[in-house]
Amino acid sequence: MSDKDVKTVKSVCYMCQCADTGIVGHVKDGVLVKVEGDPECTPTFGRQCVKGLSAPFVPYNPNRVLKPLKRTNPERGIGIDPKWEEISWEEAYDIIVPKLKECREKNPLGLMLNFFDYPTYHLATPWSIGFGGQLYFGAATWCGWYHNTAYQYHLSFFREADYEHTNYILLWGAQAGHIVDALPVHSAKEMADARARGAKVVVIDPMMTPAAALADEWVPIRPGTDLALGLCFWNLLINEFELYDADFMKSKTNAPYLVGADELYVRDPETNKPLIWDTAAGKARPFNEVATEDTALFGEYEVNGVKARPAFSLLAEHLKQYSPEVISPITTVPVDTIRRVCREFGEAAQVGSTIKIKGVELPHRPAVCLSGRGPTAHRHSMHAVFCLEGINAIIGNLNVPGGTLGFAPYYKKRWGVTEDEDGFALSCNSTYFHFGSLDTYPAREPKKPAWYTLLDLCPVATFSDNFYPMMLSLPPEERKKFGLDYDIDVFISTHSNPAVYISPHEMTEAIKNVKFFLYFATEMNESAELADVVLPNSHWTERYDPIANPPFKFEAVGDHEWYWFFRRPMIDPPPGVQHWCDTMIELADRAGFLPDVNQLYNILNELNGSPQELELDKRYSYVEMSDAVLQNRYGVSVDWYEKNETQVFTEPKDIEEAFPGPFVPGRCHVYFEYWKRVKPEVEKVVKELGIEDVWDTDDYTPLLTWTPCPAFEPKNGFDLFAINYKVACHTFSHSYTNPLELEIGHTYPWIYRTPIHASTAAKYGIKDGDEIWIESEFGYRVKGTAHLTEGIHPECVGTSGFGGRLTRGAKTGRKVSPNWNTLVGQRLDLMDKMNSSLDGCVRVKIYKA
Amino acid sequence: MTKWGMTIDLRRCMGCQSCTMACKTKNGTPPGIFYRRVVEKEFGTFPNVHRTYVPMNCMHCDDPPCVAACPAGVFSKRPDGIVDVDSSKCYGARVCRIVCPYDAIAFIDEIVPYGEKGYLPPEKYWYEKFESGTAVKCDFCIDRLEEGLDPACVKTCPSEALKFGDLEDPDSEVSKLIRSRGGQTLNPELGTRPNVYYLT
Repeated sequence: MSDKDVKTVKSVCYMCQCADTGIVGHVKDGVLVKVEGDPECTPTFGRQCVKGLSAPFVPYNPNRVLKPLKRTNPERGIGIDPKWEEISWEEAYDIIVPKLKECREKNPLGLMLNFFDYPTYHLATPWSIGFGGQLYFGAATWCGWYHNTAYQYHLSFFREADYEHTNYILLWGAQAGHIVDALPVHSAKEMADARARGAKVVVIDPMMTPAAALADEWVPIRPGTDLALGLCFWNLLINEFELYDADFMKSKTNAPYLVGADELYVRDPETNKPLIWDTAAGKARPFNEVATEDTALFGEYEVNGVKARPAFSLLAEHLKQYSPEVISPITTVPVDTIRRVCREFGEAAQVGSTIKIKGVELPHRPAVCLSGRGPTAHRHSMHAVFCLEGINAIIGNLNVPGGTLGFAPYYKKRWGVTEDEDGFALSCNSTYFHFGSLDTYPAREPKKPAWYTLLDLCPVATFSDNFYPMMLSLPPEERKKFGLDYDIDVFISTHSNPAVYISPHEMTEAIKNVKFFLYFATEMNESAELADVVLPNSHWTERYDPIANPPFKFEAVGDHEWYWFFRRPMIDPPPGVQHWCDTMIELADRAGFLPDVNQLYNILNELNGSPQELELDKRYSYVEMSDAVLQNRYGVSVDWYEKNETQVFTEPKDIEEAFPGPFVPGRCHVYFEYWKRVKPEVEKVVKELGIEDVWDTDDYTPLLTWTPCPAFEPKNGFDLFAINYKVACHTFSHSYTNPLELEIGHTYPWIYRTPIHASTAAKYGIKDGDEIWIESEFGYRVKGTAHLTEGIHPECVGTSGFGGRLTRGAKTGRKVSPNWNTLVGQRLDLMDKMNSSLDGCVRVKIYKA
Repeated sequence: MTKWGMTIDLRRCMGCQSCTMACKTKNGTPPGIFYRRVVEKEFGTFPNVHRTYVPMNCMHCDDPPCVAACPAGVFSKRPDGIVDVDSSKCYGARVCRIVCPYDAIAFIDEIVPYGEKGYLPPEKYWYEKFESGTAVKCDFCIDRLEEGLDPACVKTCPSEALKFGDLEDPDSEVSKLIRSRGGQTLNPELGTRPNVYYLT
């Protein structure tokens, strides 16, 4: 390839959801021929991972949607030809706009907007709320559920390790720092540097993932039992090793709050504040009046005529049941291993130590525990995720050097953290940045659900998106039981593949219940094939995203500069194809609700009263609207990026912003009194709805508790677990139609083949390379090719990523590997009623094909 | 005199194949043709198992078997240490593939498209310099070196496992790493004297 006549364009990668790297696109005759990391982009070290490098093939997908399409075959389903008819944009608007108007007139909640497109949240959300509709972020089905804890522990939606100052990295079903998590490129270098510095890495996972393979130690665990092991870690750190951060417990958590026999706080009759036992005064006093050194964590006291104990004392006693001897048979992790790893972790935390950074002395807790999707996507997800992430709270590493840090919780100190009247930290209004994901404290008032996500029934969840597909799949009379007495008249989806992200066969049936389905597609996929109308969408290589890494999302933590990314088109979109947000503005304008969108845009982006406030009756482009937020929030603009021909704006970050832990007010929870307090309110609504038989509230307990998943016990010959793990070369379903990524994926047998432990394979008479069926207890089966290995728990068969595409459109990637989602049961009894997590524990049997 | 060489830190490599992809998209090689790859090896028994990733490219040997064996003079050793390749001289004897102990030389049987419905637009530019029936391999990105840049693989590696530099310069990063970490070459017993050093 000659470099003559090659134009270079600076932009921002978007091959995964992260917007992690500044890139340079090489364009010849208008064709994107190469993408590489931008050496001038210092926040991401000028580097680029395997996914982004393969970007040039993506906009030229032979199954790219280039014209609006209308379905002519009323029969919908996997593999059924929709018999598309190409239509003009005007014809498409003539179909869609009346649907929008009818829906808005009849019941605006009948509109559901589903998107997983971070740079556009600031507009897509006001669009849907301005219409009066609902939101559903979709791809969250298999998210790491730690987001539920992050607002409390990390005052943000995401968190990451401070690799630069840590010495012990416990990856719990996670591969952070190994090109598959948030900030894949940035964290990979920091992880490698930490390792070179001597940091120890231990991975707890049923699969020897790439992270586990490189770790100092891989600790295989039986799927779905991480909560049991996590509670054992709490027990050991608190009761056996006493390696917890007592000062942190006393001053930054509710551990010392006095609790009565009813498991609720004992409050001051005058101020209503929760009480702490003051050892110096010999009496209970409001939490804000007791010095840390005088705060009691243990004991039993008489307060206001009732017996009360510090929450920590109850917790410590409760945890004693989770001894290594009890937990080992549950998890299959040997007793000695549990004790040794936990002690190493606790000792590495150096509780009490400090470090001086840029002249400021700070607590130093150089041990981190990062949980991933696998250990937390379960029936009892809420307990699991607070347990695993809470390990960081036990050692006091929250938002301090060497510990776990939230993404931009304290930017310019104005996205502030406040303290509520009970003494708890409230992160800045989370809806400001991630509309639809909410703070998980304080509990919201439970109500009869308005949305299909049943968010009103989940008062302590950050989101409850998985209930949406569940509700959609129910017949209308069943759905009514949950208070949903309306249909989804208009379903709009983009940057998401809702047909396949849970059980594809069941989701396909669910989507049939939608009256009108509009899908924005770059390429034909499973969801597009179910739509009534498909509109072409520009690919990220062809579009502007002035707010490419919204705060709270993808922003390196710790002692680095702030950086805000600007995506610009490297190539032109195909003729007539535009950014889906501009199409949405057109639709709002034609359907007559654009002023409502502008109004909501002003409110949700806090533009009211600012020079950037939008005029309600004026029509703006997506870029103009983004520019208003850029100017208002960061003091930078589209013009600035264009004039400087760059994709990154940096600002200095001071130590308080980098490590806000000691500088922000408020406590976090290790005792979940507010769950207990809201429980009767949830139960009241459940009873009013009459859904007690399917909606339990057992998990609303103040103390984290191990409860097995339904799949814990093998049954009816389904004696193995099918597990799923991420790999560096793939992200979501779309990467499976990229021939470059597919070719790379074939390099390793554990990517497309089915890893099985050699001893397990022998038991079933399966040899390496045999074609096998993996059949789940829910009646579905997928085909794989056996890869015999020592690197997997003997009770498991492995599948990676999102292979096994079902779309008619693309041959590429169709049968490349078994599709794990097909095996999953989409059933209410397998879901956590607190946060909608679907159980990823799938019991299967295997046999030769 | 400069002598180019590379270090590959197996403690930093995560096996992510970003180097492979950077090489492929920089050189625009056809399907199935790679100048570099990452070889994995699993060892141990459950639960004490490990897997190492070994990135491999042309070792740019000081005594390169390909140069000696090729009847067409496709390969040549440059004064700066690079084993250069002139595929236009190749008539497909493929002796190079047999004699290279590192499996570093690829042979293009036929250029076929990646696209399932024919060549994708970038491919039309990618394959300009390739001909079917010829041998190809890594040249340490000579064109990038001339611009003062590191090879594409080195430049992209997210975990900075790859380093490139002048082995003759005792103060270069690669020389220092080889000294401090005891850099080793692959199959030294074969006498090929590679200029790619592995750090373990």
